[in-house]
Amino acid sequence: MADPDGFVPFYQAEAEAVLMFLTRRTLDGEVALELTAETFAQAWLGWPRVRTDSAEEMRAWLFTIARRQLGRYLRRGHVQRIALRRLGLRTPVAHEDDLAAIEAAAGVEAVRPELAAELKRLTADQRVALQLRVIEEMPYEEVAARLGISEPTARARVSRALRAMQHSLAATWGGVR
Amino acid sequence: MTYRFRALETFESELRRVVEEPSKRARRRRGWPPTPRRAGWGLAVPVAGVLLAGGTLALAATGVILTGSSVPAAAPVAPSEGIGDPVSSRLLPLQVRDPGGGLPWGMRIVETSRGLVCAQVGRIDNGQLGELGIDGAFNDDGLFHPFPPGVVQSFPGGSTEDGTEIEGGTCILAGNTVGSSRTAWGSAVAAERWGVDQNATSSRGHLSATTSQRRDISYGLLGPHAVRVSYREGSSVHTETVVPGFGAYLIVQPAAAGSDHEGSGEAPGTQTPGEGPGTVGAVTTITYAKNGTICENGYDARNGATVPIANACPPAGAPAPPVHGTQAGLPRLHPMIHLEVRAGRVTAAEISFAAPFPVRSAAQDYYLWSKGCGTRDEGAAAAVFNHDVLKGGIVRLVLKYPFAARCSGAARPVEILFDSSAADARRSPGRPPGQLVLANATIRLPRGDKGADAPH
Repeated sequence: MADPDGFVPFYQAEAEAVLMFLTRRTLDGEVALELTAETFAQAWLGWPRVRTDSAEEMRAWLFTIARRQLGRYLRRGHVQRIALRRLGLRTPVAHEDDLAAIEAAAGVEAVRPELAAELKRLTADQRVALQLRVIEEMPYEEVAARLGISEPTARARVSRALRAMQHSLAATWGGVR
Repeated sequence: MTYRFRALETFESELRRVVEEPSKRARRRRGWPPTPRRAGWGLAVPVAGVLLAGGTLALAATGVILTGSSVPAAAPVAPSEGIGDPVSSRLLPLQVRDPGGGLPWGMRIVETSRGLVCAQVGRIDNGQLGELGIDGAFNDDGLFHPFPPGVVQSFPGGSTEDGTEIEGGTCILAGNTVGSSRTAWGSAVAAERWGVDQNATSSRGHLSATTSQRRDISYGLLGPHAVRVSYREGSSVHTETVVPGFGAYLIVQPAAAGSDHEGSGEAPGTQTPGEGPGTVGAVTTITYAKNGTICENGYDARNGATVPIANACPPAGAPAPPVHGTQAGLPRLHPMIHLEVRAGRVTAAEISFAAPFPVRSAAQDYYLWSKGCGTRDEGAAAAVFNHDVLKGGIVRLVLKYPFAARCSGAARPVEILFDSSAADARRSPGRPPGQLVLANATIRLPRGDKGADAPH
């Protein structure tokens, strides 16, 4: 079991790396901050079950949590604050200068044109389905009703669009954390 | 430790608050889940194991289920923003069986420091309302987690009365106790939440995979004149009496087949008599008794059909304006407009001014309204200041993405309003009772800047 006293130093060592990892994949410093906070809240809940002293293994464990949060965010279109809520933690609020600094450090501006191009490469029906589901946060049945298609078809379109975007993100950033 | 980004430093302080809290540390050293209060830990493990392995809460009905930690309180907020009053927490005499068995469902009311009454739904154990540690909640510890007195939400930052945040919490139904007395017809509230997990926690983050583990919950406070409600369950119609005085009702049904998300909406009965604007819920008929006369409202929100009833309640009718509308004697407002600009794009406009009237409860607020433009009324937006403030105190209203609509041009007119539901509140000519137009202002796009698109 990991030492509780080691958690804050662990946060100090890894918080920025996690934040950069998530900013580069969401392209949004504010969302990345929320995901980072949820990642560390989840990590604290799981801390008693950590059975290793290896810094590398602990880091891999932390980034697994971060990837899971990112996956949920991409699927649902909003940050789930499960652990933050359970622990009664407030989500960090960043000043706009801070957000600009986060996004600049992550090099977000440089990749936006590539992503815009990637969005254009999606088919029109995928792009619209993705917008309704992820940006406008509509449930699948509403997406289906809006587009005049069945719910399974709506799910398939959103899923294909998200997969395409995830491939794009992975290709853009490669192994960068 | 110095961070490049201040937000990380702020969150470290938050984390330290939890990590270094002595009681939590002590509990963690003993392991997880926390020690139950009503029995020895040796008993808790097998009981929790049976509950989880059996996939049922049948044992809970016998009173064997153990109590775990309380549902965490929301992050502290200032009383001026509205917080739950612990003394006001009151469990209503309602016990409704769950379709899967186990602990019954119940409802309590909590009044807030700004005069709202909040209806809160959960599972009942030993006279307390709470949530269950199953289906992913509370690390699946199988324990009962009570709501502490006055806790109206379990979400951090969710304890203010701001509508958006309340929607995200466990308490999504709030009626106003100020201005319009709770004994008045017009103070009723009713809603349905669908897709709620059987553990009674918010589905956010715990949404069960199967529909059988989720519930559709209709509940409300219909006021002292409500007598009973009828509701649809499959092809049958059932009738239940409501809790006298509050007109409280609670209906728990298995979630509708095929439902893949949670949601909530307003149910019929919110504006009585004459039927409310509700669009969801299982309730089909509400029976009222007033001054010895019984009447009914009948409307099926699930299909929009009128339900046959014996004695229809009279239509609500428009409320009589309390006073003639006038702008005479209103103080002149001098609003300041500050734009938030990021990378040459205007993302928000903050309109601030000294409050000409105090706000002392949820019955009053300052409001900013901006009409949409174009044939599709694009970009219509509003902002509300619903905190208490002294006369002369600074009111800040923030309009997000004021120039996002393509048709908004470089000038965005806004109206600054003061709303009050007090019986003797003034109003401006042509406005509903209680609504005063304080000022008109225009937000202008600086030369060279552009409006940022709204992120939806």
